[in-house]
Amino acid sequence: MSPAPALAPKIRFLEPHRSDQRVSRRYPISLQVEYKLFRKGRVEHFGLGKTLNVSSGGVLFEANESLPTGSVVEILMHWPFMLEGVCPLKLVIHGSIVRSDSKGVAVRTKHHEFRTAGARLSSVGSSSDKARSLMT
Amino acid sequence: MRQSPAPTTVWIVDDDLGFVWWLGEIFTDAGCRALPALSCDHAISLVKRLNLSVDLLVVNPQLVGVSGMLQAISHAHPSFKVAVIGMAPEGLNYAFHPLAILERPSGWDSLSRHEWMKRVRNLLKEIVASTPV
Repeated sequence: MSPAPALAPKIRFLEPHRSDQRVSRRYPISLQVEYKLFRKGRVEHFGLGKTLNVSSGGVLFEANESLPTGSVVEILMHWPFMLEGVCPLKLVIHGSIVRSDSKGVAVRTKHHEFRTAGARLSSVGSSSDKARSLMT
Repeated sequence: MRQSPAPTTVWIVDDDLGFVWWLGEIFTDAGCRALPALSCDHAISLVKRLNLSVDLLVVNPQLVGVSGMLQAISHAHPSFKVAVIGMAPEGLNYAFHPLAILERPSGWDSLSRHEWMKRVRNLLKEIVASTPV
């Protein structure tokens, strides 16, 4: 039996939407990260943590401390591949802390990019940064 | 003394950061050199910059510039293989026949690392089988 016309919009709403699934999919990744908290453009705090999951929209990681919600944060992750003993690729994520509790520190990504030992190579979320070529 | 064969170099090109990282770890655990790229332009510049081989390109065919990337890489690495992530959009003409299709895990599926490791190992066997001696 087909659903009553009045219910149809709700049923469509509950159906999986492929592009939404992609964006929200969180992948379990356990990897050490370095993080920096910024205040007025300057590094205010530095720490180490471990990722719990990663998606295009954000990162959840464990830290040994509670971090202030709303803070601007930079997260550094090393791509698991060594070239002549050196990690040639690092992922840098810029975002803000949206939650920090016993489940971890949740960061909403504003921008992420891979960096090599010489230059920025990829930029997502901020096209103006593509113009910059030197790695910080 | 016999030298061990060079590891298969796999480039994963997709705009889904979590998937790229997750799949990269699986290829790495399977003994490959896995490298990420978040766009086709990114892949082309990274291949040039790191000066590494391209044995397998795992690519999202819906990304902008796929055909150009495949052409560009094929000039320097003529024997590379292609696996696509998900289904190709209708009407996309493949000059490079994909060796395999890897279905992206959807938000509703459980994610089995063991199952994906099996898929990756099968894919690597296919590469060996399809490479002329």
